[in-house]
Amino acid sequence: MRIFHGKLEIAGQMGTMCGELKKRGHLATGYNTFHTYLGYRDHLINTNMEELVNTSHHLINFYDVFHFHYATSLLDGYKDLEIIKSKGKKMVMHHWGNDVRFHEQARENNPYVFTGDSPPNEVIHSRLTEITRYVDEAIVQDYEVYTYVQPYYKKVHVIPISIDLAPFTPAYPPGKVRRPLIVHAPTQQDFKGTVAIEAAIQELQKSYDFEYKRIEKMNHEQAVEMYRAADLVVDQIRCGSYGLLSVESMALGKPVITYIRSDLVEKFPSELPIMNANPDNIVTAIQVFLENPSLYEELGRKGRSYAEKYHAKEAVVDQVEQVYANLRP
Amino acid sequence: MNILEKSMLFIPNRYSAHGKEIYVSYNIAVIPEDMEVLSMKLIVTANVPATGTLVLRDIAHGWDEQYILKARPLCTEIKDTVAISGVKEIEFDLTRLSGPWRFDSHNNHGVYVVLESEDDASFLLEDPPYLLVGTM
Repeated sequence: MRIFHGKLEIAGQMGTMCGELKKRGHLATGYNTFHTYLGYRDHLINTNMEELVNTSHHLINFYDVFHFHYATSLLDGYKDLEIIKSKGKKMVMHHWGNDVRFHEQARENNPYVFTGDSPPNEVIHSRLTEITRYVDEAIVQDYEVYTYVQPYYKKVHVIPISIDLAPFTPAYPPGKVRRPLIVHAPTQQDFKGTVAIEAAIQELQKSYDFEYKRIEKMNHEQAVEMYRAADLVVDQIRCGSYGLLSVESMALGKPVITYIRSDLVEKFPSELPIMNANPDNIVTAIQVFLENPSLYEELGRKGRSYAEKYHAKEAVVDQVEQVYANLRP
Repeated sequence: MNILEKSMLFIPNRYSAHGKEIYVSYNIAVIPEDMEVLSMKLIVTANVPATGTLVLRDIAHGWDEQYILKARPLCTEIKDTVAISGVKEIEFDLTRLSGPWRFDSHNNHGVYVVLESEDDASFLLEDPPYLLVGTM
């Protein structure tokens, strides 16, 4: 199968999926026009909109399956979708959250959520309406995103974030952590709740001996090396679900604090080993670890097992291949 | 890791197919500079199994997809020939061009391929040839 991914690389997902698809004999490539200091490049062609537009007719002719991400497509105004459909080729849209997080709807079950990175409601609605004139099925990574897009599509698949575990050899915190290292990586501070997290850190540093590092402005490989040294990772405490940093941390065998909305907890596998905390109780959540050092390794080991079972690219791409196979042209 | 997993796949940035002839070029300047190119293969596909000889020449100067029939670019002498018998997919080793195409992209005008055969095989615009660049 010839599979196009494009055109925004968010959290390394296009590259991870394309790598596994290629391993299985498919001709797959991710075309990325969103370039950041994170420096994703595996299984990607880092290009620009002008080149994509200029070569779109060849791309449309070559590929059999178009796996779009983040409510984008090849051409402005989704003009390519009609052409792709008319050629009898398959399409699926992968939504990741900020592209579809309707503001008021997000706040219905979550007083902490930050939606400042999402477009206005009417823009989201307009995009989804236009996309679903031609695209019948979508993929989302969890039920937090599912609710925003479900009314628009004929079918929405929930497939977890994928990770290539090969570079993530576990480095479990030792059984007796002496001076714990707590890390937080605020790629988007308002979204992740950095202010509340760092306020909690300052509060706890008055009573406990630990080190805190904020990880930012470094490429992805360098950041992963920093996570490897951590004893505890605090990810995002406002969104209501977990993202790639949580998955990578679990893969490294690190315990993770993230906020999972109470109405979504039961939608995840029961063994999800994330310590659930929001801005109101983040101090207590971190304190639990500081008071109970054996938790670092215990949750770290559970996290690694969870990542292997649910997020390994092999497990994820099994599901993605099934979606491709069943898509209607 | 298999060969495909280690390869970058490129679709033409310019491609023109007319009967048994194709003009095609690729922009591989986007390969990160610290990556080493180990191999580069062009895969062309005929519409039906073909028997004959494929001839490849380098294109010597700039060209435009839209005007290719009115202004055909000059090509070099023959650089490669492949004898085929009853196959649709044919592979050329273009590793020799990987350096110039990456680092002197202004002078990368692609290649011209013609199928010399008595049968009805031809190349289609709807099925562009692709490039597999093995990297490390």
